[in-house]
Amino acid sequence: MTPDGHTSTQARDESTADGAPLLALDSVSCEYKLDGGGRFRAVDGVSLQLGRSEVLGLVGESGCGKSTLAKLICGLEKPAGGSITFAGSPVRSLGLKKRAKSLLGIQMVFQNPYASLNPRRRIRDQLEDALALDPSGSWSVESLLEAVDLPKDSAQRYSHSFSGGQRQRIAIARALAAGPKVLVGDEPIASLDAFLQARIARMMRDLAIDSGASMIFISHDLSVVRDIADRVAVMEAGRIVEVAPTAEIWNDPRHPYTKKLLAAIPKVDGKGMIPG
Amino acid sequence: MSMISIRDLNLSVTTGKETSHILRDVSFDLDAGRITGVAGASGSGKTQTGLAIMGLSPAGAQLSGSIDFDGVELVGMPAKAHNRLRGAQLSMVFQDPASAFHPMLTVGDQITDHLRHHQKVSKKQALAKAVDILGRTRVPHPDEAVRKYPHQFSGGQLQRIAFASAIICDPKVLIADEPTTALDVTVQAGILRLLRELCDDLDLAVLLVTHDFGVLSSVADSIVVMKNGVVVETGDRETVITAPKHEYTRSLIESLPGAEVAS
Repeated sequence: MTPDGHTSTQARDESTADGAPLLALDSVSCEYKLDGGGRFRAVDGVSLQLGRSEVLGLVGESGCGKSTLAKLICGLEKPAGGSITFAGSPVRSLGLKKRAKSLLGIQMVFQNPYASLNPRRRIRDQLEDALALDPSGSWSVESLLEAVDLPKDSAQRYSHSFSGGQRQRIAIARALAAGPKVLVGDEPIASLDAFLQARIARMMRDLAIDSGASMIFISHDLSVVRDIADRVAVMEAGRIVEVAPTAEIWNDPRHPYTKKLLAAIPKVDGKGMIPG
Repeated sequence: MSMISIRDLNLSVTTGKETSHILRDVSFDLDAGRITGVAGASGSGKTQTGLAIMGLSPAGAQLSGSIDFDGVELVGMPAKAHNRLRGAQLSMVFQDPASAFHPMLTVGDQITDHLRHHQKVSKKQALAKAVDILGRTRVPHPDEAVRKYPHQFSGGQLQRIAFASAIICDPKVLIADEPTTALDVTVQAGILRLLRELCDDLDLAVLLVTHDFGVLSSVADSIVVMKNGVVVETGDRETVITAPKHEYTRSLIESLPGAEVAS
């Protein structure tokens, strides 16, 4: 949380394999004002790159700045320093004005589907709003509902008649309808029950990749991230401490914090050992 | 003899003309000083089994079979009698510590409420006991913690406070329903260690409801696997995890990263 010397332990992401990355973050920082003066540096000099058709998992404990980073990428939060570039144009923070067309390619799926859908509008209307953003897209309300495995009559219903898992699938459909190039999921599975989590996460990955988008998937659940991510970025106290391909993070973690996170996952060996 | 022995427990709920069977012929035991883990997908009835012991089955539920608690039959027990046991001898810890507490009452008030109701102690004695119990569940600075409000604690600390609240009346049975699911993986280990300690030191019969075989592998002594309201497999920890007999158990364990099942 100290602003000084933030280059010492910061892992830099230098995977520029295929030309310019789709989304690039260059030493992005974000600060919140604290009550009674002072500032809290939630994101501290983060550099990350997202390639085309890539799924990047972002993991870390609660309070490490994962969600703030997601908000920065979508322009919902103003960076205190650094720059974010999406497909060649800088990401500006979202104000009261209409959003620039070039930035509509970034779409977000929020953590809580109970709060992110409008309870007073039919599902059809909410999906059509998003479809209007991408008139050249191939999606229709029906094909979206089919893609996320919901019955056809869902379009006429309101969000209260769906379960949490179904609502999150509607939120995913709505994000896809806008024809995103980058889909940002901020703990999209955290509010779902355990056996649904893996299923929805895989569904998000498949839908994003099939529609030619990349995805940033934020979660504190490492086992799900392992399942769907191509690369994993590990975040601790506002900094990215390690970025590597998923298998490498799992089999050969370099940073002590990554090791600590992995060691804390209980092993399913029946030995009765509590990790740590 | 077992502290709790559940035999042929059936639970069904009738809404309108439809009757749904939530539990079918569930039988297993909870022993003092042992952690019995119940695993299963959502809707398998694992939480409802715990709630049935607590006498918190949903309104309109029909319960049949037997839950024997140290010689006392809990099925069909009048609500008033159950109220005397709940919170005193039977206690429970829930999944989400943030919503398990009232946001506008101090921690001290909330964890002594049931103590004062059940044991008729003075407010001062109750608070002293609260400080003592919070120390036991390793909440930092217990004497200050009793005067604080829930929002002033992290999730892991709140779950420790929830455990303190559960054991303050010296219960015999503790039901922990997904106690670590809402917590970070690094905090989870501490809570599991606490659960193990409390079980051993206080000779509690613990029912640990979870979907996470990693958690069961760490602390459970025996494991009950449920599917659609039916118990499909029961056995001790190592046998169930390394050599599952039932196909469903095997599929649950094999779907986990890093699991090794002997074939």
